[in-house]
Amino acid sequence: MTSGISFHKLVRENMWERKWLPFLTAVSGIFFIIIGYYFVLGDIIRSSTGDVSQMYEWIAYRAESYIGTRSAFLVTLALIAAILAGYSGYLWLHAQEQVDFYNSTAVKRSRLFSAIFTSGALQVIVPFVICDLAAVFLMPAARGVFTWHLVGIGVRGMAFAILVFLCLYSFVVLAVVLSARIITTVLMTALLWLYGPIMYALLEALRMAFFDTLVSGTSDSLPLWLSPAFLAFGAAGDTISHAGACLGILIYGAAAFAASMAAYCVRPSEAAGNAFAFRLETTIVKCMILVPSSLGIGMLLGGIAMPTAPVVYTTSSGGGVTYSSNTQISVPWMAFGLLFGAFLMHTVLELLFQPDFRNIRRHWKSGAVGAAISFAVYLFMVLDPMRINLWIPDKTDVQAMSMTTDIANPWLIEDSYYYYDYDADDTGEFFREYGALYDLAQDCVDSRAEGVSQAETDYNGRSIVIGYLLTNGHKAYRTYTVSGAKVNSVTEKLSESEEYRKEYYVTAKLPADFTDASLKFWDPAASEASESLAMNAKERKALIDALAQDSTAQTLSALESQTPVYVLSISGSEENYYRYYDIYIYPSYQNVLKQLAQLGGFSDINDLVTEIPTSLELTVSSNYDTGEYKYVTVSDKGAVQMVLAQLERETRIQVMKSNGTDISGQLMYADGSSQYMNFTVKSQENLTALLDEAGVVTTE
Amino acid sequence: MFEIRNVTKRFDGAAAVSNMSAEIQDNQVYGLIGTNGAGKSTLLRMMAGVLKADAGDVFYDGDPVYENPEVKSRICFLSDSWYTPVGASPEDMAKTYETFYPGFDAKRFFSMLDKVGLDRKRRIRTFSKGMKKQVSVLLGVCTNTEVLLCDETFDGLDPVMRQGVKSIFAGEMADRKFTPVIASHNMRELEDFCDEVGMLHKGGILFSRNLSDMKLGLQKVQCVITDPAKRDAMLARLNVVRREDRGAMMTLVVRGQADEVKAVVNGADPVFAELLPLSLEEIFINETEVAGYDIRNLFS
Repeated sequence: MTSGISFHKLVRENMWERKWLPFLTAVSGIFFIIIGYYFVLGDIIRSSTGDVSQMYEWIAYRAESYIGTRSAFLVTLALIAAILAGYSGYLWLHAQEQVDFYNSTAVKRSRLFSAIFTSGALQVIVPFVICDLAAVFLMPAARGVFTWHLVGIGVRGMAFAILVFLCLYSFVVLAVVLSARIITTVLMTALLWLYGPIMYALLEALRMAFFDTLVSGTSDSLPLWLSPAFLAFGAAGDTISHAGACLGILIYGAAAFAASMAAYCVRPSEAAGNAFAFRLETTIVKCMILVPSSLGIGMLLGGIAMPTAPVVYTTSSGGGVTYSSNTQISVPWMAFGLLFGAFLMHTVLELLFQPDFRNIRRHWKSGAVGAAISFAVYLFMVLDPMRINLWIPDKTDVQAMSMTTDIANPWLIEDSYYYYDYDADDTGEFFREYGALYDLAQDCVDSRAEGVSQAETDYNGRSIVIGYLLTNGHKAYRTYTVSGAKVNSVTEKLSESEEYRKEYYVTAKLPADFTDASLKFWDPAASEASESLAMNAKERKALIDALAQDSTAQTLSALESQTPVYVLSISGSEENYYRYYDIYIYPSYQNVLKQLAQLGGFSDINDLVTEIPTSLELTVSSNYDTGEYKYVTVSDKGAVQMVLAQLERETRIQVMKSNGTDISGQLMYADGSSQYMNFTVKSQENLTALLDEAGVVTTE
Repeated sequence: MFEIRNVTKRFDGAAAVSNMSAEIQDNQVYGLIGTNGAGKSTLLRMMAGVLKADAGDVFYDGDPVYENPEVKSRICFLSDSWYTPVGASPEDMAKTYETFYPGFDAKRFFSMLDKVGLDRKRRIRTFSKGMKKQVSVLLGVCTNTEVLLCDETFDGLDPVMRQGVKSIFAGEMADRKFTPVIASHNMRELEDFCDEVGMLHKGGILFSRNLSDMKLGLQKVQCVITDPAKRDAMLARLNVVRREDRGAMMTLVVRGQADEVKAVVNGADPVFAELLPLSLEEIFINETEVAGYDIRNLFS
């Protein structure tokens, strides 16, 4: 007798055994997809303002997020369907009687696996497709808003949902094949879907706690790529490239399918009723869970046990420079928490695998292996044997360096805003005259090697990223928290290099395609706004080129010694982001001043309209050390002028460097506009007298 | 023919079957006897291709069984805990068996089902243990495979049904190539049923012998001999394996051919002498004692 059991017969037999699955899928599809979509369309039509084209836009937008490729709802349905199809198709592997039956039949394992997989897929996909097509074609027609564009959205969404389902289904099947009891199946499913992002979060936490000088260099979307489920939701949420995510889901699904079939074909039949299908799996899975769990528990305990008052001490390098450590973990407590966590997880897992307390002692070796791995990781973090956190290349191995700080270009711009996706390469251009920067880096490493302090003495701690371009072509980055004074000093030194100025001055790289521009006087007694400067493309380019030329001709120290004449504001929108810059125009910017004089329809820059502020709201620091402030309002126009005469407006770098009395103020104008400024005081005595006479203290 | 060659199978380090070798000829009823944990089910599962041996292999007609659909299509395995889907009836099981056993004769199955009085549409989960066994045996027979492996299948069958199954097996063996292999821990179940028997103990096979051959060399005689001298002389001439006295009645199990033993006993002028049929247990006692085991200890 030959083994002529046809594939389609096997599929049909399996479909018959779980005929509830297509029924459930169909019912869900009718309610959630067909009827749900009908109501969604009705909702939009009802709330429409009457603008038909806008209504269709809204319908299309809403359709994308309900049945289209941006539908987290469809991804959720696919996830649930994957679990139902996967569990119902393969949980028989956990029952000895069923294993005896199926594995004794004259069917190759790979064929049986494929038949069951196909059966489950068809039982979900076919009813889903029918419901989805019905929704896509009939519901818009029923609402009188049918368009082929909507059909396209629905069909693409259907394809995306099927892809997601097949991927997640493959993972569920893999989880069932690798496990042998329902509880370990659920654990395995969670592990396969969530382990990547969880490990990423843990490694990031460990990195931030122990290797805080390391620049992670990864994007915020990396965790999404480490899990098929997260990837699917990320693709629906539009947080990552949809095409890339679909490719990732396809690869994940193919890999999971191949792995599950391979595992199924070699799965021991006697595994039914055990925790896992393969012997070594128990130890591997236990370690996979125990190691990050115990490290996490250790970090939690170490963080809770950390003293609230930071420890402060200066380093032997002197110079008033102190460094902050980001480590917020009590190392001894972390060690205790880690070992406690290892024991706790060992116990929990053993009871999950088989509810037998004796196994806690019997299987101590696998627990010990996990604890040893955790402890080894812990020791690696704490002792840093490879000096990762203290690494600095030899100067002879460095061909160029870069530096970026959290506060960019305070000598050159008052303010700026632009939204962009974080780019690991966005760590500054490399330049060759890096001497002062290398010294700073060495200083940071030396101080860190000596010990760490928690507080900043000058309340001006800055975060910097130092990049090394090595002679072998590799790049490496480290980040430090350094006193602001030190960063400013080094930056000013570096600006003595023309190469640095051309790479790092923001005014050397401004976009010429801005759409709006306006000019304000620097003098606080003048108006906050001129008319907008109307420019054609050629004039914009000329202005930007002049700005680049004038600014890069001078060091930062030279610029800081001047008082700006104007603040030039330029702004513009692009596809995904809006940006603006408020740029200081210094008296030495001769080319820029010449350009500005020719713009705006006025022949003389002094023709700019001026207006005295009508009132002032000042925030005055009454006690710098204790941080006490008072709010003073001056509403007499004459008094406003007199007060302003006692104040000198500060640029951003001057604010950062000043250690004196801080005054900031909101200036109000007759037309209702206002602007905010920072000042330094010319004469404290005179100012105090004026404020006492004319100012009204509103709050202290 | 099944060939079991140096097969070993371990579970959690303990050997369920240890370096076992045996041959099971075609067209005979083969009984696998052994206590719980002797390795019967494990051996049957390896013969059915469910389990993969850790060492050695199982062959049928020269081909390995494991993951060999061609060979497995000629074998049907009835597990001790027989699988039925939730809510399945004999009719549903027939459809399932039709899928997995292309040679399954549904018409014959329903006919036999009617004969034993079982409802084809009733849910199997509502059947008694014995009724479930009946259905499983009938399904197994109707698959028309060359080999039927039965794991504790006869446990729970009433004597009438057991006799019925024996008749069915005999009929199958007369009509075609058919080799039932029956595992049981109950020797009485296999009484007068098996042609060849293998005894398993602690993962190994103590012996595998043809019952007729075993019986030929062993006789059970019951006699009353009043003359002590003649009695002693008779006992000296016989190769006595076991002796049991109940008053004047002596029951002996002796080695030798029936005619020879009869002649010796009659030579002692017995008041009463009769040759009795041997039970499987008595045969086994002899065989296990030869192997150095006390069968009572094996089955206690």
